[in-house]
Amino acid sequence: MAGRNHNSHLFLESVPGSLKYLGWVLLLVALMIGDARNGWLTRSREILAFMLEPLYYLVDSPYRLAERLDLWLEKHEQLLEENEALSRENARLKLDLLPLSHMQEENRQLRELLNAPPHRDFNTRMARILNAGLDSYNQNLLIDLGSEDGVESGQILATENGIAGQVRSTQAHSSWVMLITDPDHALPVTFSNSGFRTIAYGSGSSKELVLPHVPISQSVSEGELLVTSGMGGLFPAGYPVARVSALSSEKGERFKRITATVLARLDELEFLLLMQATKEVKP
Amino acid sequence: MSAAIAWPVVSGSLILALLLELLSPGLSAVSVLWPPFVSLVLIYWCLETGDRIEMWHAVALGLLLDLSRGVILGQHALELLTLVFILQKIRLRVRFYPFWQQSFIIFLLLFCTLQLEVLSRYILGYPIDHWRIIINPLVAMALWPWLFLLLDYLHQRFRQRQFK
Repeated sequence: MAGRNHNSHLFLESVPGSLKYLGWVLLLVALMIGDARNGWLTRSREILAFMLEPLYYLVDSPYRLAERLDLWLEKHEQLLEENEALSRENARLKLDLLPLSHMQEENRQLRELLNAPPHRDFNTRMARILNAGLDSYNQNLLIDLGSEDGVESGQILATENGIAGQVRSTQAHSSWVMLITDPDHALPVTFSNSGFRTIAYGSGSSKELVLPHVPISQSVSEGELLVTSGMGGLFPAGYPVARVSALSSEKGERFKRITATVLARLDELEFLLLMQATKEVKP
Repeated sequence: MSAAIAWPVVSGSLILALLLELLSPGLSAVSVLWPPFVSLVLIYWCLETGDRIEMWHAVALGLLLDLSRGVILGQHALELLTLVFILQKIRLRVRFYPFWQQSFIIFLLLFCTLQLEVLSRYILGYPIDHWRIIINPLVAMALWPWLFLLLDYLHQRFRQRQFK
């Protein structure tokens, strides 16, 4: 048996062992503090990406396989039915878009008259989620598009319901996305009823945002929609973000306590839409 | 001389455990129930091969886990290191416990090492997931006997093949 010749450990404290442990602990504590202060984690992740990337693809492969099997097992008729339903929906959506394109053109002309800068146009691409920051505290996702697909840090990700997050760092074939619910994330938003502009911070839970800077005097109603304000230039204006879910104001405090429920269901995501800005239209 | 250690089985199972742990379904509520595979497999090898699993193995494995999971650098490393350190002291006794008693020891071990996580996160100002701290060791406790049987089977087979 391995270790039979080390029986003395049962009775004798091995001093070198404890010292070694203490040494390692000190080293790791220093590492943790360094990481918390200087963000070593993100940087070392970027450096070691070439090593970690295949790991993520490997981990994702069973999910992909399951999806394929699912597709095979699904009945032909069922697929046909689904296809028909989707094409019908597509036609309906196209019809809905018809007046919009006219309005867009009108809007562009009006903006030209006002000498206002043009709206940014976006190409959207489907991004598959490879991995989530498994720790529920860090609201991170890994997507399967990387710098070779034209992804740059700062690009926006959304779902059909609302804004989801932004690209934080890129590797060759994958990128890390910081969700708007990450405690380090701040998103400039506007209250849709009052037009009051403020900043929504991530709460660390994948469902909620917190808005700590709304003064007591500001009127806010429950269920009010929050949209991106376009301040700061990173997020385009007017995209839905969240709905006010709880608000309270206590006497003697200067700010309301507001939490809002994120519209994009971030904990059930499988795909995200990556929004890549196309070249701005010259007025 | 003691029997040769089955390094291919050890490293293979640890890598597999790492992949399994990475398979965890991310942000959804189920992720709280995802067992700590790496800790469990490391515990098994610690019990079986004792001092052959050294502290730096635990640190290296922990750092790899930190990097791939995206938590604070050093958090898992500290947990696994402490696991190995404590197990080296008590392994000769724990090895001969019945399953249910071993499971209970593992619950205690994981619960205690998770407190390190709580402490460090609290000091550094990171948010803490309270459910995980309770549920994760419980899940590990339930999984332990099955994992033990599986790994023991693999280990024995490898050894038999070596002695042929």
